[in-house]
Amino acid sequence: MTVGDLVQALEGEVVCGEEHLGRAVNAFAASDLLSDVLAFEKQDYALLTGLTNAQIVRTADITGASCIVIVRNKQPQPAAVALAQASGIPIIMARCTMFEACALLSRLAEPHDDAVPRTSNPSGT
Amino acid sequence: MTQFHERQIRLVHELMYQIKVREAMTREVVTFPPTATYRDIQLCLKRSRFSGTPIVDEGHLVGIVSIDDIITAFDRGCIDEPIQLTMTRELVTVPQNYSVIAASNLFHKYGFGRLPVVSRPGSDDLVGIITFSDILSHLLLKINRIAERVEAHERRLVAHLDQQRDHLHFEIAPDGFDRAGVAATLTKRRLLSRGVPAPLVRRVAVICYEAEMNIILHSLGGFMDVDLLPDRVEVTAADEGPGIADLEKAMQPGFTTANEKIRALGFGAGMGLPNIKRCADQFHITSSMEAGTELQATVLLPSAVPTAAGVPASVSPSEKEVAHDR
Repeated sequence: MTVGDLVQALEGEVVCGEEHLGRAVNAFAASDLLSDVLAFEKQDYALLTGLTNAQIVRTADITGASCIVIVRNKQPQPAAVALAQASGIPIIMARCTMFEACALLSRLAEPHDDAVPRTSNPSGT
Repeated sequence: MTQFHERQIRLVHELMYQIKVREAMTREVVTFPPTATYRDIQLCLKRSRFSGTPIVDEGHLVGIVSIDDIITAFDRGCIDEPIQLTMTRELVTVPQNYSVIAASNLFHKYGFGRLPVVSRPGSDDLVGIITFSDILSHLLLKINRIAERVEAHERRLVAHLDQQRDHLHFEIAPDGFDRAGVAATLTKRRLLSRGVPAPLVRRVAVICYEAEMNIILHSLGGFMDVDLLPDRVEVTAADEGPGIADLEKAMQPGFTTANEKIRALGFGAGMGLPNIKRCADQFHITSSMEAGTELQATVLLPSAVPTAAGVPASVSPSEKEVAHDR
């Protein structure tokens, strides 16, 4: 999944970072506690949050997030947008609630049945 | 002559003034009494490859016999006679506290290969013998030592410059929430630019971010130092207090005393210290009411990772005072 796919799925509005919509999204973190996000081990993930301050961008930058999704159509603070532009991290505003966003994305992230390789022994040995 | 050569010669001259005869001279001297024959001395010189030997009479230096004197004795047919009958008693000596330049001038003036060294001017108390080659060896030794000192100094200078480049210092003001994360971001950029692998940079950056946030949210201000060393990155964060009441509790994930305001900003979840500990290979924290809190977190770089085994992160439960959340 790319950041662009995610924007489409959530019918989100790209606040900044349009040039990075091709970036891969391999995991998700949904939290309003940034320390929890900092404890998150994965990279290239989408950060879903209800927070709007500049710290969401700091956190995303430090942990190597692909993009930030702000739920419930909240406007990011100007400092956050400026920092996101400087660090090259897209911010997306989504109308849905955190729960709805998670439900949508988890369906999208689930591999389709026919896309899962059935061979239990892919190397053929 | 180039300026460089002039400087070299000045250095040698200065050194020759600095070096005293007693530093360069040979202390163990083979001497003969005046009753010895020229042949005794000739056999000794042949064995020892010396080119001359002082003659001492009951502790007093009375003469010197060189290979030249022995050849003369052969000529005159007095090789088996005691030397006291024919040897020269007019002696040129050099006092031990003179500089070697004085000795060098005497060699030049008289064409001697060696000079007996006496304890003080006018004395006949023999303390050693000095040759021109003694002076040269000592001079070379001294120049070598100077070169080593200069090299060591330059190495220290280079190391210091390197350290400057790999040292970051941040003053952190309390309540500067808007500035939180600046130190962490700058650290991240610097470490990436210095070639530290990205996953390790992320761990260091998280440590910095949480430590920075702790100082901003919970203290009266402080500072953070980040040192990039060849085998590790060290983060030191210290604040001016008021300190952590129960460090063991503060280390438990989820334990917090943060207020609603802090929580509304996305922090104060009680994850700060556990996060730092999780990201660090070595972790140490002390807290006291007098000195505030000091935290040290080390992330080992790849070359050093094998040695990380068995180095447990430590929490010092001592020195804890006033209640405070991290």
